[in-house]
Amino acid sequence: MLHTAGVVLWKDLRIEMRTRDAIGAAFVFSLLVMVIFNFALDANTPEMRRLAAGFFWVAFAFSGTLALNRSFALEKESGAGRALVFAPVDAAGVYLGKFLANVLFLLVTQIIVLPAFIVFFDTGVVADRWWALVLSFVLGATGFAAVGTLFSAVASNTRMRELLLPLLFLPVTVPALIAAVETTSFALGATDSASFWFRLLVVYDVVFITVSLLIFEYALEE
Amino acid sequence: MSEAPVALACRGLTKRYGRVTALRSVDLEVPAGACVALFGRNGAGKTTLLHVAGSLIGSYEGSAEIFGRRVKHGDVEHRRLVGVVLHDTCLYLDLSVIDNLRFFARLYRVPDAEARVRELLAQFDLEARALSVVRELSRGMKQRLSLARAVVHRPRLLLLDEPYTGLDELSSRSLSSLLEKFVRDGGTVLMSTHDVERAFDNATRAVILEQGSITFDRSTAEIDTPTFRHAYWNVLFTGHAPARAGV
Repeated sequence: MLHTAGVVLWKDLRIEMRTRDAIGAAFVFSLLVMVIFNFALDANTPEMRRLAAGFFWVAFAFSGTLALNRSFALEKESGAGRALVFAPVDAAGVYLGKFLANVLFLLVTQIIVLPAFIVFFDTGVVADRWWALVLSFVLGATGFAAVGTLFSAVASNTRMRELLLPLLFLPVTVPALIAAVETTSFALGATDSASFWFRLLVVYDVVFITVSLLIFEYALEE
Repeated sequence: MSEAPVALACRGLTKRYGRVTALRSVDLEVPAGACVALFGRNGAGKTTLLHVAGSLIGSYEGSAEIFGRRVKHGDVEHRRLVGVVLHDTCLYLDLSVIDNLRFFARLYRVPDAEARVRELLAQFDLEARALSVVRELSRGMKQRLSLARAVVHRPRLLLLDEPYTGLDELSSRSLSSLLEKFVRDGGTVLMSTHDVERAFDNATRAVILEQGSITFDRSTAEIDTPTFRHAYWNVLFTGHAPARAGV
């Protein structure tokens, strides 16, 4: 499984380095959403600063969907994904490789967008809570990618995949998004404790990675 | 003298999609080292037969064996024996030629993958375009690369679904010579096609499928190309079985 995952991860990274489709689209979309929020809601007020984490994750949820849509779209193009199906590999390995690639793309997007977010919302990370921000980003992106990779594979076999993916997977990611907003708010100093939300994110990630590994075989088949 | 091992053996093979029967009790035996060309109208069952042989389809009735091993959907060992070229090229368009081959070589755990990739680039005359993105290649080059991808793990049986479609004369000849080499090296080929001339370059047997059943199965040594072409066109355009068409 790990060998297959490594090979699939290598392939997705090579394609992304060449095209920059997933990260590029997610970054531009995130930036646009933040600009709109910034001007529409007058983000430079104390009240808005308390809600800043929510805006960040809303922007991330929509832009992340673009990146995840791309994940299996490139497998459909020219039937390349079928070559994966008739190769002697286990589906769980394919899932793991695609999932890790998506986590990386989402994390890179978050890191690139973070400075713009700090500027637009006139906010900052509390000095001794950088670890919380890093953990929030990693756990949030992991949960998002765990579910998104599975549903991206399912949606890619349908006619309206661009529409279907967000409809299928955004409702499922709501617990992870809420937890990610709370943990990021903690890192930004808007709340005093987030241990419950961190635990929830860990449980969410473990459950959905496990379930996805078990059922991905059926998603991969046409 | 011992008989050649059987690469593909189908007995009473039937495949239904709901109420549609794609294959009706097909009996077909392909000896190792043979090159069999499958002809037939669109929807005659050619692709379904290839998909069953490639273990791409789960359930079927009757039996299908590859080198004595029953074809089971998802059988990893079975997939090591078979290479598949579908109508789509099954290549990553945004990867370079060499990276596509590297990817599939690693996926199949080919020993000394890099050397195998270099060997295929030379054999398929793709060295000059090794670093080109697949998207930029001509249809003929893509098809050559698709064939290189399919044989990267040295399969014993190659399944090709209409490999000559969309190729110009030069590319078709190039593909034919690559297939010829594959068979000469001991490989077995089962391909679906409508291109009688190209298929007869390599094929040792011609089989016609009509509505899921084999209606013609003969060695290409027994029939010349123009006669078969005439008969096959009759099948295509009038629906007359080859026997009535004078073959």
